Amino acid sequence: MTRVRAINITKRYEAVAAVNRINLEAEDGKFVTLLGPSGCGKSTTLKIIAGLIYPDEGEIYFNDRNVTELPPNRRNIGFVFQRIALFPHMNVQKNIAFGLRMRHCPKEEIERKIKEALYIVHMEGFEKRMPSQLSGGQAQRIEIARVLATDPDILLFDEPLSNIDAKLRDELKYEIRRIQRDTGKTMIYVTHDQAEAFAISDKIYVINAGSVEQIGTPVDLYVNPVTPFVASFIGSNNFLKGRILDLNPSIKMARVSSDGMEIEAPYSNGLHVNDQVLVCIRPEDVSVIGEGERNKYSNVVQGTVDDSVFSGLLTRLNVNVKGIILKIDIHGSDRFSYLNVKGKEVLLGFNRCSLITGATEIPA
Amino acid sequence: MNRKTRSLLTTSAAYLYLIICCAVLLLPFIVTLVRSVSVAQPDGSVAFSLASYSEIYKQFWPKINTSLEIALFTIAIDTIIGIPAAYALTRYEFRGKKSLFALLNGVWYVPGVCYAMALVLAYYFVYKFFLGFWGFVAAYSCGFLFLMLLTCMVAFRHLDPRYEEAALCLGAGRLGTFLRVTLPLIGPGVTAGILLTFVLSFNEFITALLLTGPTRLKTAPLAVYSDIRMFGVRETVAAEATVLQLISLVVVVVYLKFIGTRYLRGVILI
Repeated sequence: MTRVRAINITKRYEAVAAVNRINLEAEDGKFVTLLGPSGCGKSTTLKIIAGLIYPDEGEIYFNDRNVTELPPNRRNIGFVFQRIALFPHMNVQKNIAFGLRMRHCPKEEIERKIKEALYIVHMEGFEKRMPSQLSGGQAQRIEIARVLATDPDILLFDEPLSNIDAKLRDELKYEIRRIQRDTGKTMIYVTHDQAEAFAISDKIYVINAGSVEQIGTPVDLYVNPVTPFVASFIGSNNFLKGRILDLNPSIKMARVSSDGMEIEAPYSNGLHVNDQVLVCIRPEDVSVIGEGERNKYSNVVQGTVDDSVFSGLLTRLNVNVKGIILKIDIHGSDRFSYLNVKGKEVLLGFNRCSLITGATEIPA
Repeated sequence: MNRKTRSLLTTSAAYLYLIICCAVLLLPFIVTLVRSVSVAQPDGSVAFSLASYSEIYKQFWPKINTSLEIALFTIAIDTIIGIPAAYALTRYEFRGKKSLFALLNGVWYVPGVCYAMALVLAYYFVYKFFLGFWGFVAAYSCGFLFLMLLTCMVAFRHLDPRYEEAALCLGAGRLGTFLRVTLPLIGPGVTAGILLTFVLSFNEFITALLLTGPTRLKTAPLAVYSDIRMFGVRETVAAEATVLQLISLVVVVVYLKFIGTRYLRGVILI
């Protein structure tokens, strides 16, 4: 039953702030993910929460207890590292027993808890193995068992799957989510992998250059990115510079003029006519439509196909619309119909798009 | 010449080179060994005999014992000082770290005679320190500390901090982490330091020559030296030299057999 709060934490290395006034809250029993590119400060943030790094400013609370000054061994946390950190000179059993012995558990209880922990991660019977005899995925499971055995108040994961091959990574991420549901523990998870974050999180903090860009559920972040960084980091996006022509507050729709096109987009409060905005259109939200389908779409534009690339799951079209290249992804069985369409005139329709205010530069 | 003959020639040349190298390096040892078992007979011929070994046993063994004791105390002191120092030099940044390291390193580049003279001056005339057994231990502990420091630093550099971080997060205190995780993992590195300290302090001669001073404490190398001066290169002296060499050789071979060269990396430079 632990709520974790980080208030205004800052950590500078020389003049550079690796973590710059980050505020974070993980509600009790929730799965919170810190998502961002490498070097954005997410791991540093996690290590500050663990107590492995002492922040220059800010405070960490577990429930209402200020733990900022406590060393990691007095915070009752579990930390799963990016690279396997099982002690190489101890077998699986001793590795799991380590944390319990530090807590002066009686011997019978240690044995029972080792069994329990191995059961949770589906690794019964591996007690006597040495870490060098385990595969990457097995070792990471044992590591999770090792931290679970100590019954920590919170679990922290620092890119635990990044050194594991793709197939197993997929399996293990659901495994971690399952363990979180089964144990009901508060977990904070760091990753640079958006798909991983989306699959397992209740709440995601998108972090860039030491600051929080946006907080939200996976759907929030996907549908309504509020900064250009989030819009380009999460999934892929087409960006168009635009200006608000008029607003319809009753249905919350804005009309935006952009490079000779007029686009209708939903908006939230705080927009005014003539504001500069960035229009974000996801490639998967645009369809190639027939003349007769015009009325099904709030936005319809015409363009010429520049290029089409088939990548198995989808076919990506680059369509030139009045000099601007729009990326369009075609899913489903239709993807085979657009293999050789270079130079073809197409009609594009889309209903969903989002507006980003306060930024006029298209992110790289 | 086809490729096969050419490769045969290169291989032979390589082997020849190795044999010459080994000969150059091993010849003195072999000559000493042969000399120690060749005893001149009254009729002028030379016969094989191990008599010289039984002859030296009585008076040479106590000297070896002294050398071993000095080496062991040196190792103990250097390990206790060296491990924490190496930890600090590897894991923490502090002002003057490089200068401190250079200073510690510097001892190594002082000629043995100068170092010994400096110690005699300091110990005997300044501190009025008794130049016996403990004088040797103190001198070697200072002189060879750098070896322990360097090997432990190599070991600490190879030890990813994540193991210690993991131990801390699992609830171990700093001391517990050090004793249960750090120390077992750098163990082989420490043994490399122990090996080098042993070999060098056991065989050290120049400093010993000056330090032996008024106490007349004789280490094994000193005994060999004074016997050469007194008796010339007799078979008993050769036997003493052979025993001395064999001890180091056995220790090194056993070490390489069980631990390997991994932790001697970076120390080879010296």
